[in-house]
Amino acid sequence: MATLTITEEKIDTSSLNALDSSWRVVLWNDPINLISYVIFVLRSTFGYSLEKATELTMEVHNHGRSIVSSGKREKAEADAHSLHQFGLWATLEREPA
Amino acid sequence: MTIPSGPIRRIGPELFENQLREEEIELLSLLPSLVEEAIEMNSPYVARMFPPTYPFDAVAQSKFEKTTGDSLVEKHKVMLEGFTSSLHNKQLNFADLAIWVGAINDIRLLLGTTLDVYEGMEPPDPSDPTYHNFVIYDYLAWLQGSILDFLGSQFSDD
Repeated sequence: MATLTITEEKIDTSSLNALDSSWRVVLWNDPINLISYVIFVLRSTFGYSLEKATELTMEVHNHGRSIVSSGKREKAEADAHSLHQFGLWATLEREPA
Repeated sequence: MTIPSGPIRRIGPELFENQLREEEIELLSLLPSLVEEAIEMNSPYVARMFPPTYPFDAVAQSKFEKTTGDSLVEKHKVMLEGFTSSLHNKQLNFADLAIWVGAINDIRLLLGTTLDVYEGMEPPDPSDPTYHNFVIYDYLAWLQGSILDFLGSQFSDD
């Protein structure tokens, strides 16, 4: 997977204090994690099918990032934390209005 | 001709035989403590294991770290210790294998960050001082991939 680069313009930071809005968990590309490992983590964490986990992983690999889950802030934070426990790089951003 | 066997062999629906050679176990048993020491020292080389959730909001990031930071450190330590303690086990189950791939990933994150790995990177020349670490990094990728081949079979749609 290609080198991870997070640029601020890719992330909506306009309403980070909004607690009630929906949030997206963004998984970022990196050069170390194996594709097969990322697929395994997405299946283990979210219960995704092989097809869906592979599609999301390849989106990360080919486009640098992918939205792998979404929901209220508390759930999104829990999801990001779960991915961090597996060594994946996940961030949160607010769903656009 | 002898066909080399993999590090793990399935011996039951949810049971696997650990086929690692003694010298592999010896090498692998040394690596988790390097990661644990780097975590204890707050080394920049383990920053990849603790990525920011809110990279552009220091307040939200600080609050998130306060609530999750300790459990994240603990999770990594438990995984590394679980890996070390099961390296000599002759039989492994899916839970063991999941711990193995997670711990190997942590070790690869440390080594990969130290080596400044990038996509398509060629192995350094054998005379390069980083060569041996790169060989270990590549070996770990092979080992992790071999185990992941078995782990996928626990999911119902495989």
